[in-house]
Amino acid sequence: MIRYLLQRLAGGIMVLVAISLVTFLLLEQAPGDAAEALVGESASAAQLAAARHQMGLDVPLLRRYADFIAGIVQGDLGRSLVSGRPVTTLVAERFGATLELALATMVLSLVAGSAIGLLAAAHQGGYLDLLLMSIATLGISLPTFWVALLLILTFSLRLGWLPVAGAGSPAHLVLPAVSLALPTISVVARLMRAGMLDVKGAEYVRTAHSKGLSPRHVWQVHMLRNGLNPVITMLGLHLGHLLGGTFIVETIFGWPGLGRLVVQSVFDRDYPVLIGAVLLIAVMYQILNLAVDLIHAILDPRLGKEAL
Amino acid sequence: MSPSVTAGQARGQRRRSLHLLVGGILVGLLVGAAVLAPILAPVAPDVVRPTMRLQPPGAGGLFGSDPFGRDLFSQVLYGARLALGMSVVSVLLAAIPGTALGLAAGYHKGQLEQVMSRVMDGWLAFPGMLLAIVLVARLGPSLITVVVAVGIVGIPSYYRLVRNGTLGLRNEAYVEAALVIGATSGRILLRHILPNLSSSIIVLTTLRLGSMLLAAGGLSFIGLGAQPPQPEWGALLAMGKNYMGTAWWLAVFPGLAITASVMGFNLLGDGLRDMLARETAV
Repeated sequence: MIRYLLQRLAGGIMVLVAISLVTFLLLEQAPGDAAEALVGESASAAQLAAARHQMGLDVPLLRRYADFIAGIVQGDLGRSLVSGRPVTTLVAERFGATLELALATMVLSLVAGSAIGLLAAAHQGGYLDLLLMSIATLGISLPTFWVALLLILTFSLRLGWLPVAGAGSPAHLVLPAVSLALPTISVVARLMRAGMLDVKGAEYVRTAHSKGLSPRHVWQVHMLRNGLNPVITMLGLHLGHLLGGTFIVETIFGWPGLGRLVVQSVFDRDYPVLIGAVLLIAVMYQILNLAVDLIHAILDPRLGKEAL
Repeated sequence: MSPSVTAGQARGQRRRSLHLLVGGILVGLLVGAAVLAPILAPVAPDVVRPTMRLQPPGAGGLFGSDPFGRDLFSQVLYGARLALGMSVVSVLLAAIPGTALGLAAGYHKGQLEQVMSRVMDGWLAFPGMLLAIVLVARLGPSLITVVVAVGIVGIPSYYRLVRNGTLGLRNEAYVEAALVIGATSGRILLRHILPNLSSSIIVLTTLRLGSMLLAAGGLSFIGLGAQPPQPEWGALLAMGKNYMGTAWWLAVFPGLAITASVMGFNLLGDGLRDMLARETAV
């Protein structure tokens, strides 16, 4: 188990190095660089060269990557090309807000999604199942940004109950979290239901029923554990979408998180900030994927034996 | 097991038919709108009419008109072409390589599987939206950038699902039986393992078709995907956001179109899933 963990950790670090290289190479060779964005199109070649030199953009590419990696090891991600502030500070300022939003969304999604999925599976083929799954299908189909617009339109502009944008109070968290959670609730509900139905006809479930165990016991011990597998598998992937997708919601609601920082740095061509934020999100993914694989191995011994 | 039709099964069948029917209608509407856009659109989607600025539905056409006097209904119709093309291309870009690699890795465990899984981990470490953003920063905002990026980003979803499924199935008795009678790896994968994973793959494809539309719309909405005057639904909503207080229709109809299309794919896939699950269970 510990060996497996160490292997995965080593693999994760290699993956992060690969991502940093890919991101760095992609962005460092972008056509218009930040120096152009800073001095404007009308600047002379000399002004541009001076700006490049000042920003350190005239140093060879591999040298800059080596410096960059050396910097990361020392906790230094460079400085923003726009504000001149250290990237580490900028990213650290935003990390908490994104984490807060992501956690609120996950809790909301898991609790509501599992409850809906189990309820639907218990009434398979019934009208409650039909109703819940119709709502879930609608929830998956709703674009987050459209939901956000409708929520702002209704609860902020019409009713005036909740703030249009910003952060700082629990009231500010409500609309972004609900916008983000709606699709995830639906995904969890669908997978929970599908997982439960997949194992419903399994032989070990029939055996458990025939040896006289109470239906409740069969559900909790024999079915839930196996039915959770597809939920866990997909949740790991969906977590990624969730974290990555927060930047749309953060942009709409002016939420001061990493997502909004990423979008802003794309518009500013502020590559050090973009690379720093991308790397931090990649680190979060690695940790989440590792967690999901471990949970999966624990829940499904067939995979567990092979993986460990 | 001989099937005896119970009340629950009959209801399940009705639900399945309902899903297939409604999903089929919605996807049919999407395809119909895409194909017939030039015939159905009352005005070309890019015709600017200064006298028709911000007219509500009715006076300004079926869906109203935008700040340039363009007909929103025509724009949404032409947007269906973009939506359909984007979703199909991106799903193919994800499903074909992802499934093939997942089968190979799950069946032939060992170093190849290890290497491939690490590569896929790296891939997954790029959330779809984030990789799309990095590519947009590199290539410039465009619809094609977004389709390719989101398609490529979908590969590991298929890989993981299929690999995990194959790992779970490869020790099943019927796989061993096939091995004993001398079936080749290819035959075992295609005839014995893949069919057992098909319902999962269909559920995933359903989600991918929808999520592609949502991702492209989202990127266009914040200005990183399709660019005006392309009548992409997300880009239309972005304009609508600026007129939310005065022209609600701009923030409503393009979103409805996205929702209906995504829901069509989802319902269709759901109905097919139930149907296929029954076939493989028998």
